[in-house]
Amino acid sequence: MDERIKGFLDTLAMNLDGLAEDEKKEALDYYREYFSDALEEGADAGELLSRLDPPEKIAAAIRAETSIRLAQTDPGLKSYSKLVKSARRWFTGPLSAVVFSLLIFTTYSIAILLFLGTVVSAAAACVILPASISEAMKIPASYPGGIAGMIGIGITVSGIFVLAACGFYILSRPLFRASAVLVYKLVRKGGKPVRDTAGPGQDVSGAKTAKPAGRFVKAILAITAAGLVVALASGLPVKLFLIFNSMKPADITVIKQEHDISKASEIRIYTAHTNIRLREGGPEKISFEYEKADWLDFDIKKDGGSIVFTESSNGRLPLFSLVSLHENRAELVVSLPSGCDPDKISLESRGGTINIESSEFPVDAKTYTGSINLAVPADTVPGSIRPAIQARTAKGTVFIRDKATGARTSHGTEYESPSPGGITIRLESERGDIILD
Amino acid sequence: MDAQMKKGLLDACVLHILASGDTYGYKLTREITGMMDVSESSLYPVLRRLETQGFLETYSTEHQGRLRRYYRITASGLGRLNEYRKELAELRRIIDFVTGGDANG
Repeated sequence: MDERIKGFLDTLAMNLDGLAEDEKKEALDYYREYFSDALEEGADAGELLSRLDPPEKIAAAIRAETSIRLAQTDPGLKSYSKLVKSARRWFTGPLSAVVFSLLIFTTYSIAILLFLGTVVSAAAACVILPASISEAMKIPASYPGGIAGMIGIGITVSGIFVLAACGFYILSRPLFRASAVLVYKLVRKGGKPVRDTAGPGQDVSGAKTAKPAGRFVKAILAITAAGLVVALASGLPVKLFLIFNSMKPADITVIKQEHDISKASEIRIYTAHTNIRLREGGPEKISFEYEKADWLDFDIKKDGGSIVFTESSNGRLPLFSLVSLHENRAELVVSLPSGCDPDKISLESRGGTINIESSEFPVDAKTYTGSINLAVPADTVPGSIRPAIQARTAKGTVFIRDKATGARTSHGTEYESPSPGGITIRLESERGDIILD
Repeated sequence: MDAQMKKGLLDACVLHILASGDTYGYKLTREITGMMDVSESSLYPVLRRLETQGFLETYSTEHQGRLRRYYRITASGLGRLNEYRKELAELRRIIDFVTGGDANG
């Protein structure tokens, strides 16, 4: 093709930048075809070009035509300018300027808020995806389902945020445009002549992203859906849902162990978020009845005079430090022989609750978010030992529950009762409640 | 000629030419510039507007190894053309009146 024609088309393309991609292509196709047809029919390139307007002028005409058309076909804009027109009929003079300014202020404010929503959502998506991938990478390779599930969850959640960002952006666009129209109307009312081509719908670039944006949203939708499918297939979301709602997880293995404690002087129990229940049991032996969830490991150490039970994560459950703040409804039942008297019994759980069914043992119980329940024998039971109780919680409440009515009375954050019996039970919770029956 | 008037007439001309058969951009331009004093390059925005207004539609056929876009008038385009014809008939009476008066006076 002739260099001059190529130059003409390049200049035209440059001057059509900012127009919607399909509008631009349509126009360029037309002129390219036009030249082909003209040359084919024997026209001279130089002469042909001299008959045409300069490409800058052609581009301006195309832009003007497109902007008028957009202003006429955009229903939102059309009804909006109708509203503005009728508003102008009602309000005249300075009042109308005030009303216009208020309208402009409102539309701009909402538009900017929506735009902020776009930015925040996009930022959230940018943070969540890498965070969830790094969390997934911490899962041992022997649990590929968990890794895929976590990445799936990350993709789904960040995908939803990207979609939210798109939504906010799409909502903010017509408001920005409406604001621009209002400013234009206000200025024109003020008597300043504004050329037609700079009129409503001046912000033609708004339409520019329409088509690619649609494709982008579709792609994100597909990716999000794929992430969701992978996540659901892994079963991880269900598991997390169950735990976060303190429901009993599936895949529980019950493990029973008995240990001789005739020489034990110290018993220590720690669980991440399995509930602990302490009760009186058979003679001479301590028994553990542990409902083990598949993402937890346990370890029982007997060392001289001490028995230590420790529960820990096997790395399979992502976000464990967060998840373990919730009780998992599985239970570790510790049965101690009646009358056994080690120097120290300590029960500790981060997220689980601790239920002490017997007040016969000197216990130190400690939780972070879980609650602690202690059954105290009624005053009226003859011969029962009344332990000294020290209960303290930083952010929870200490309640005393009436056995007969079940009504709870609050005792603030601390409760102490002296005892003649010599046994002291210490209960301490950072955020959970402490309930004394 | 007044630009506004020219614009209306240009629309009418395009629809009139297309009413007698489909044609492509270059040929259409030649026919119109042969009759009206408009720039050869000014037809594209007009065609694009008429297309989006639904008065005409396009289709492409292959011509010598490339695509050539043809324009075809639609039913509503024909309706619009008829309106133009009525308006122009009225205009003609006014023109006759004005120019005739001039000649007689």
